[in-house]
Amino acid sequence: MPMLRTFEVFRQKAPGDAHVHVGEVEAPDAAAAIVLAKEHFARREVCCSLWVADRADVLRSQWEPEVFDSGRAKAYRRSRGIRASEAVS
Amino acid sequence: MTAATGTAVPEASRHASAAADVLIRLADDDLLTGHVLTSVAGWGPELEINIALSSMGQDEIGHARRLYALVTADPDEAERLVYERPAADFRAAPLARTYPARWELLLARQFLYETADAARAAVLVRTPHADIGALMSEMAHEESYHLDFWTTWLRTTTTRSVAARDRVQRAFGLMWPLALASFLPEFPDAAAEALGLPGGALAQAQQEWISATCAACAELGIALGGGEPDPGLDRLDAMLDEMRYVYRTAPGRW
Amino acid sequence: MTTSAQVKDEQAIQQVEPWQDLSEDYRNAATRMIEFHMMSEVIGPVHEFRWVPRAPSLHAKLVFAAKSQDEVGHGLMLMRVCEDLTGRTRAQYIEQILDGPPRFMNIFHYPWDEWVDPAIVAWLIDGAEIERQATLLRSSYGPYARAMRKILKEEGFHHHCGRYLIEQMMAGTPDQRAAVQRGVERWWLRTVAMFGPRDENSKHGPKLMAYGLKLAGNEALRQSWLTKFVPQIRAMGVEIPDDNLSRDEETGQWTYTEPDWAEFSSLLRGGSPVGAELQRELRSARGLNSWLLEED
Repeated sequence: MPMLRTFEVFRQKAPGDAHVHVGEVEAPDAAAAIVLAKEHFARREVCCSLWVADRADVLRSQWEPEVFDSGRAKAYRRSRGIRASEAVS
Repeated sequence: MTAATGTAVPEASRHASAAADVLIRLADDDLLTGHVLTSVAGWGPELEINIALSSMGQDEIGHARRLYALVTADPDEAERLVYERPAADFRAAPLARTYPARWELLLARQFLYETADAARAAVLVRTPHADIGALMSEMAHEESYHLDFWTTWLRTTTTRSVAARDRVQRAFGLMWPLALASFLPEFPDAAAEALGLPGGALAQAQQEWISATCAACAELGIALGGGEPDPGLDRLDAMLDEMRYVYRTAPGRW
Repeated sequence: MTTSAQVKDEQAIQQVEPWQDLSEDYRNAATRMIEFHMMSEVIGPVHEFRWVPRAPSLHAKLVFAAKSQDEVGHGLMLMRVCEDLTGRTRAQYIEQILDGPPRFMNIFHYPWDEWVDPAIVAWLIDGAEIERQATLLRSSYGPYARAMRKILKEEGFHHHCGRYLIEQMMAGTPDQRAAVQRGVERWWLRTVAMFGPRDENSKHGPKLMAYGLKLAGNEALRQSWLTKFVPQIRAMGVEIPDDNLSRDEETGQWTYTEPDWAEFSSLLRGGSPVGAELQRELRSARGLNSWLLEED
């Protein structure tokens, strides 16, 4: 059983921003991972918050790109937009 | 060592020298600690850890520079304090003079160093000298990360296995007597007076630090007991030789 | 990011991820290339950390500590890429680095005996890496291309770090200027060689280009570096130790004295006493602390 686990690291730039995936660190546990993540991923970058998540808890989607594309192709989900002159007054 | 004409302490003050002494003591401690951490960062247990060691070392060197700057306004004089001052004139305390290569020794050294630093800083920040107080506040941010790092890794290391915990126990056996001998400045009463601190505040902080540290270690199965400081662990000369190698062998404009 | 190196224009090759169905041939090619880069970044710091403690001013100490720290970070990022590409664990890769064949850049096989050595490496060679890595931002192997983004930004800092240290020396005493001149004489051919042989003589280059793992040929990168750095070195007041070095007015192509390609090959395949010493030193340091993270 390896001592090191892989932790995905997410960084929030400024309050209000989403936490974005920036890479991984390896550590025995999450508390150890997060103190390591700070210096590897935030020593120069603007950052106000970090998350770490055990890779074992991350599920990757298995759908082909076409499965995602079919959602985008559904034109009825998009508004055609409305001209200002058509706006209901 | 005469007090400098920096902004930290009014030149006319009869306590000027005592305040400067404490500042230089703190600066020297941080300089050596920064040297240790940035140097051992090449040789630590794993890549992620090594990156963090270097960051913390850089922080400490930065703190040293700012502390020296409170003693002397002349940046060249500050550099000479580092690169030319005789070893005998360094005020670094016994713990800061150690230069561990092994993880368990570095861990013990740093846990004790950072907890003591935090306890002292909580007192020093109350000084009426505005620039010293301001510097203590600013350094506290980086120090809070350091404390988290070493506290976390103390737990991670000691819970690894019984053998790991025993290693850490032996390491604390060596470092604890040095840490005890390092908490207070050389002349604590003069220092407290010079810095406008309540008499006995530092001694009280030391007592609280001893209790808290013993409790924290006991929780992890580490007993902090007696023992005499081992002078063989003092590596100041070796550290200064290393630091000054290029400065001495290839002198010039740096 | 602009570069005068010839870059593979068409993006016919889409970026791939490790969990996709990649051919064994592609995986092997990617593994070889990225493991070489990774080992260079893990072994290189052994040289660097001999000099971090000795920096001759507090500013130089901070700057050089930060630079060396970055290299460890590069090693880490590339290590993660390799682990996910091959399925090998950190422990297995560390063992490979400490005990396996020396597979790293030629520049680490030479001694770094004076302070000017790491300074010149940072100035000229990290500078060269900027060119090369800019093209790798579009490498077909997704995780590698992503790692290049952070690595490339930091190489910029490293080049400036080296340039600053060399500027200090060139503005200093006659002994310091002489040390820089001697240093460039030592490092010139090694740096020219670092880019690797021309494509027609490169064993793996053509395949890496075909797979889009690599997007610029060795010679193109070398030419690009010469164009940028020959004026910079001369502007620094340093003479370049190559009487054959000249640039064709019309084509912009440089002619230069060829490095010893046999020596280059021998270093990359067979290693060197200096290289062996690096592995030994790292083995010894890691040995002290291996108990901490040993697998159960």
